[in-house]
Amino acid sequence: MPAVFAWFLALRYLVTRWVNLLGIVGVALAVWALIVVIGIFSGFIGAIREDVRRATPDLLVTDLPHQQSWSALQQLLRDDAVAAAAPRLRHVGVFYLTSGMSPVVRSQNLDFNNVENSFVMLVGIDPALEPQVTGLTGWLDRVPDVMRAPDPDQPLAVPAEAEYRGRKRAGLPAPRQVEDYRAIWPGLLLGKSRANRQLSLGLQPGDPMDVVSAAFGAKGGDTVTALQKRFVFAGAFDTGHDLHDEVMALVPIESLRTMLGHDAEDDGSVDIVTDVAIRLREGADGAAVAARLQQQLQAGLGTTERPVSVLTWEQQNQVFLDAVEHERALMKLVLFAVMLVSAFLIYATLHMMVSQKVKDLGILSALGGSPQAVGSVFVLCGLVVGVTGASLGTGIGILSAIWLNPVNDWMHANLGFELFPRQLYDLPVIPCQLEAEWITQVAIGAVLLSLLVAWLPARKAARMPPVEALGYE
Amino acid sequence: MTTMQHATAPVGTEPVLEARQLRKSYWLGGREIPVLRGIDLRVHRGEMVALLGASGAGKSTLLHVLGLLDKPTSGEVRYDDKPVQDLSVAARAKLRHQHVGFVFQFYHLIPELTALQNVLLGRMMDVSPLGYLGIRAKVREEAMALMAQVGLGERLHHRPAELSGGERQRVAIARALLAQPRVILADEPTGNLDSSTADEVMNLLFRINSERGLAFVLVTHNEELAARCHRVIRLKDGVVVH
Repeated sequence: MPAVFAWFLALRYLVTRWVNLLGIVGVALAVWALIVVIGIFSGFIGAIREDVRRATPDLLVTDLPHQQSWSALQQLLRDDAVAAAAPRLRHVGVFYLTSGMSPVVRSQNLDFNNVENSFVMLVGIDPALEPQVTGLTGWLDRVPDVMRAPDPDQPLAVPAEAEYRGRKRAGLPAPRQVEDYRAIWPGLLLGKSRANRQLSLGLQPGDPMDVVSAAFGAKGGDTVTALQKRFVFAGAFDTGHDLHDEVMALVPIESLRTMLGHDAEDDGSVDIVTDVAIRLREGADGAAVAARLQQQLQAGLGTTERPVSVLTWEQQNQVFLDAVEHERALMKLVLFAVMLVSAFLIYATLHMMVSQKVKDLGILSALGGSPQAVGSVFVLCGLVVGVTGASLGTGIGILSAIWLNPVNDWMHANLGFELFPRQLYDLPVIPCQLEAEWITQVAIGAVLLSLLVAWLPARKAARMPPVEALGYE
Repeated sequence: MTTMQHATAPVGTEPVLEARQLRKSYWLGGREIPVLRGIDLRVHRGEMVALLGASGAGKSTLLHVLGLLDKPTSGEVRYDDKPVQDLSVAARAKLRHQHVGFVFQFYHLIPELTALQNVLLGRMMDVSPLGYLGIRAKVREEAMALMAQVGLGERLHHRPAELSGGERQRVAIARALLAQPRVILADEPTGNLDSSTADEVMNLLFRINSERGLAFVLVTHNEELAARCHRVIRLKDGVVVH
């Protein structure tokens, strides 16, 4: 413990030199930024993980053999931890609106940002089984009324009346009376943002959409068979994970099988699947069940072209989640640079102080101060600056995080702009997640860094020969 | 006008400070420059010793070596008959605090502190903050009493910049006394003062010497002043001349 003179002088030196405020302000600013920015970043990441989680089943069986039958697979998925399983069939396609929209109208909606295209990942789902493994019902509830599926119990079926009106709008032949019309096309659900853009072009639930795709080698050899099927726009879904929703279109699995040449009514057809979505029972260890199922499936299916994969929800989104975490790490690094600047400020002010106080160093030595004790005056200056700055930064940082949304609301109401435009991020409030561990790390790190940079001038002070210091002019 | 008075040197007591064959050299461009060349010196309790000599004779260097601010090249420094120059840096600093008080020509007060705080510093050097809490009131009382004794009872809260040269030197004397040292090493304490103020300061030092029985080693150019001391030691080119 440094002697009382070191504490006393450190405080006197600090309060009589306003330049030391720079160090305190610098540390406070860096700590504040590290707490608030990383808090908001963590909040966003938390929200993103929630969205990704909502869009993803507990486990996904994929990399299945070509033309794998769902019926055959079900036997291999029996496990105490599996609560429900639903088949999925993925196939790429391109969709066109079967509408009478003129080329002039289309040209008025040219996509200058290159975000609009017609490519789509068709995901065939079983409307009865899918809600048992994912939050499909919730996905449908999250969209505005104008694009909501007319019948939540049968989201992939459009009422005859709506389909009749769509048929008329597209200029297709239709009976005179709506009562005489029977719905014939399977429904197609688009992701919310994509549906929104189509709605702005005049699309309405009930409008027909033509989906075009190709089957490679379907008739043997290198042949490519063009596939086409008409669907009807049934509405939109919103998992919250925009990147996922943007490319996906949900269709009935039977319709997609038919499009791919496996109509259930044909002889020799196979109830093909490419993936299986699984919901686990409460408390089940996803990774352990995935490993168990993988072995079980592989053993049951025998040697396959490539190993069957059973992915946890995190593994299904590994690249995306890693990228987001990487961004947070980069942000920490950038903000740490602010901390380094404040540390340099402390170093510069203390170094200057030592140069100005050379004679005092000699006086303290003459009064009986050891070199270590004399140097400790400047270490304590760094400690006081670090602790004061870190405390201020932590306090203001926590308050800023608490008042972030009220301040943002006030700015929006009174000044007409927001710090974080919520519409842009599609979030009801600015998410800010303060983590006690991170706050503690930042505060302690700031103090330790202040001590470290104070140690250099302190060492210079301690090494000053007393006689030389006393004679310093 | 300086009063000439010869006190009788205390005898029969063990020396509080002793130098044996003290040598100190500096090296400049590989060449040895001897400053002290075999000094023998004994200072007894209550004794006031004047060190006289021309500039460059080695007076200040001797004072620094005696006060453990500098190490001799060879020879021995003894406090209370114990060798001290080979102790660790920290132990020498502690001994310096307990045994020696310094008074400098240019006062060497800390400008950020008031007169009283400068004096209090003399007792803050080897006490922990918690330990100081227990003795704070007593030390403050002692410091104020000393300030009154040196005639600055009304100037406690003035900073050095607000004090005259003589007042600053009296603050420095009070600071040196507060730690209750055995010997005061004064390096031309009146060298920066006008003659009347210098007389006042010297009378104060003589009074302290007689009242407290403190040993003094007083570096001076002033023959009259030296004559008032118990003993005069003349230095020339780093050796004692008689």
